[in-house]
Amino acid sequence: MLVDLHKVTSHGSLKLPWLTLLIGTFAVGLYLWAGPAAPAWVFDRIAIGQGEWWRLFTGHFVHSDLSHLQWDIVAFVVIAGMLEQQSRRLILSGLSAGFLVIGGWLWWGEPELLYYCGLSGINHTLLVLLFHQLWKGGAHPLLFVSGLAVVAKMIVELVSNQALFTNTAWPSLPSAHVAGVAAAVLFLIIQQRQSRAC
Amino acid sequence: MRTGKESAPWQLILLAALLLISGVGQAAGLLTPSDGRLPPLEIKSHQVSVVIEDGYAITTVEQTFHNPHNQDLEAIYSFPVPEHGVVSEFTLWIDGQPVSGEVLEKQQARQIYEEEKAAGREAGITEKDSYKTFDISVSPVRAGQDTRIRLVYMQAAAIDTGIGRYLYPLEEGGVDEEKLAFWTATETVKEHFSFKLLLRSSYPVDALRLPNQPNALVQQLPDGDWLVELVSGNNSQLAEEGAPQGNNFNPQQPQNQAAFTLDKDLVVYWRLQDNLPGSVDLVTYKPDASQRGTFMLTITPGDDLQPIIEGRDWVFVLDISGSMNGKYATLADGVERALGKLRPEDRFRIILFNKSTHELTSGYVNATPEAVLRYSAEVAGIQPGSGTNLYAGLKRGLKALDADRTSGIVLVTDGVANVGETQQRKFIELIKKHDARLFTFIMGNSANRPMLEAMTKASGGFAVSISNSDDIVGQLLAVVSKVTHQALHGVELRIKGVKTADITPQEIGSLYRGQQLTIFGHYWGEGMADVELEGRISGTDKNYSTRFAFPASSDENPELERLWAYATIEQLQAEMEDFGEKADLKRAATDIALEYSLVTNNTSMVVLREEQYQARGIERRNQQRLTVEQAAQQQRAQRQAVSRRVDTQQPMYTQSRPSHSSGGGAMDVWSLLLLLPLIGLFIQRNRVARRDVS
Repeated sequence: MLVDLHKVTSHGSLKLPWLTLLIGTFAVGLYLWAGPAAPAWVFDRIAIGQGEWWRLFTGHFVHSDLSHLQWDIVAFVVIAGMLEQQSRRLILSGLSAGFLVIGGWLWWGEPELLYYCGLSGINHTLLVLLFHQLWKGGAHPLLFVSGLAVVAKMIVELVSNQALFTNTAWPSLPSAHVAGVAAAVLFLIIQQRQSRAC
Repeated sequence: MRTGKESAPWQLILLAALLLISGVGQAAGLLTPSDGRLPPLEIKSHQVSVVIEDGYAITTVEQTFHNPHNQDLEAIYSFPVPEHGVVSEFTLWIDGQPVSGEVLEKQQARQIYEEEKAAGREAGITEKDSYKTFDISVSPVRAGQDTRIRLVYMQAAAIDTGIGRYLYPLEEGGVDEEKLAFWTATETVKEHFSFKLLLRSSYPVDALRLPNQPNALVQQLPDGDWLVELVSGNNSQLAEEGAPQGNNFNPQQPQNQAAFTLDKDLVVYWRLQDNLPGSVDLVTYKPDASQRGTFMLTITPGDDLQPIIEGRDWVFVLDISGSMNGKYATLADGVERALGKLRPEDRFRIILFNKSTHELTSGYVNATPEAVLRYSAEVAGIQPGSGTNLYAGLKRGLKALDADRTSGIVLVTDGVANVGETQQRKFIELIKKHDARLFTFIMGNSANRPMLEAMTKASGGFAVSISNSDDIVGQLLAVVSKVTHQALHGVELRIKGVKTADITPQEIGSLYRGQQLTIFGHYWGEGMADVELEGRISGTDKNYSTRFAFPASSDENPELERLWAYATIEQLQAEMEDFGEKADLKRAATDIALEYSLVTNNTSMVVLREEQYQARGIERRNQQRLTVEQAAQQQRAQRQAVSRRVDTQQPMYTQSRPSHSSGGGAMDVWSLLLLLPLIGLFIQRNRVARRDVS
């Protein structure tokens, strides 16, 4: 991992995470332009059923209120920003895996769910990829403790079916976070098998 | 239908006779006899404005008819009766000035209209053809000239499981083949069409949506109101003429130059924020503290009805009569999705009916994926045709029940029984003989809604109206959430501490998950009232109570008087359908309609030249009422939406309202704190990397 870091940070200096900023700007711009929970962009089961399939992707960039937006965006910029220092491709792969698995989960795994929005499912996918990258660079007690804390928080949220500390206009959907984690795990498994095959 | 001023006498006689027949076209539109004796008029403009506030909707429709021919003609405009909609205003522009209508008994109104028409004076009439259509006749539309009219109707606003639904009905039900053959409808708006809906909700609204209308512009206004606009045609004249009264719409409008056809319903949905509390809302009208007041009490229960987990039997009774053509695809789609929602431990049967009955299944079938697939395909492959023996279909469905299992009957019909037994009381007797809930999907706008609602209520079930423009999945999800949860049955409401009377509905029946209860009534005096709602959930008594004040006076919502009056008239009509038409009940219904100036089965609204009102001694009672209502509407438009919740101090419910599930993936400050160690580690390793490089 240290070798990787040498490669991507241009002699150790941080580079501008333009992809992260582009995506973050898009989400903020969407909120400013189309407003909270933009009806034309949000995950809307009925509209998707009628052919508006793009909502499976755009729903992740829509936010239900300002609080929802600010924490999701800050988390995204921090996580994706660190990840982009190592591999821009990894962000794109994480986004793709997150879109597929979270979208699939929302559609088939939450059949009563009519509407969804927010970037945090994707954030969880990228977070696991970041953990993995840092772990590859060397095991560290901080990684272990942080990982445990994240998992504990997710379990509590899943059991209580609500986010621990958030208070957004739309109720939180902890299972989307789990789907985000599953997306990253699936991606890493597939990647590992492919590299072994090579 | 139109008559030429210079038509031959025999034509006038024939046409006068034809006027006794209410017109029905394939959609809302101007009607012309199909035999081509008279040329068609044109709909030049059609402007609709809707304001939804304080629990009810006021719909204003302004139209201009154009006569491109060289003879004076009569215009007849027909449109489906909106659900529980009551016409309160019919205005005709005469000599460039608006003249509003007055309500008279039906025969008298028709006679006066005919006399005015024969005399060549401007006149108009709005009549109600039972549950099917409102028919507006205007005479004359002068050769080469325009005629402008305005119609206003109001109805209680429906919110179910957190989703509000407003329907502007345009699609005709197609249930009367004889009339369809007689008339041809002109449905195209030649120059401009606009539909504007302003939603003023004191409860936060997450989104508003107008399905199947990609050109609709939806926006949330700075004051929190929501506005949806759909405009078609040349809009420059809209600016000149101005929007209909009572609105303050944003002047930015989407442009669409295509002509608009009045053949598809417009449906608007709005979604309330999740996790709102169960609540009690009170709207009153009592302009004089010493006099009687009118109130509308809306109870939105909390979500304390538990899911039903044991397997159940479902008998689908499906209407495949000829009138279902045009709606059958929606039916088949809905049935497929409904079957898909059943669990493997559920069983189902499918019974079809038109003039006779036929069972598609052979007895009960377990709801396995294979069975669902097979029978969905079979239902979709059926071609509707022939008459409607609803009684026979329902009887066969009820016979199929298994007494050892909990059963529900899902009836899907456009609800016009025309073969076999057709009397409402016979249907209710049949339902009451069996222990099964009836869940009725009422298709289209011309269904015999009063009868279907009465028999559904008698079974303790519920009825849902479905338009071809509806989101069938959304409607289905609402229904599924009801039938898969317990219900509060035998509901009774008690108000103590304030004198109340004339409560409608007198019998509430059942409340299913997501349903609101709306009660109209009169009250006297003022002060604190104890309100109790009682019922049974799975045989166990349940009681909810709250305490709030009825105000001494209030003048913001004069429309409540008409809404109360119409709800009472509907109740009287249901009684007459159940127990036969009694002179005293009919008289009571007519008197209320006359007092509150409502267009009903027994009364019509007629517009005459001002001097003719005086000459005929017709009081301008509706004009006075309209003045009060319009002043109140202007007053309300100038302030923000007001909360009508009255149980804040002592909530009736501890649970939040049920809602369709929505969710957001959300991070928080604590999630970010968990990232701090990662950031620290990342920075540390980056420094090491930099050092190694240098």
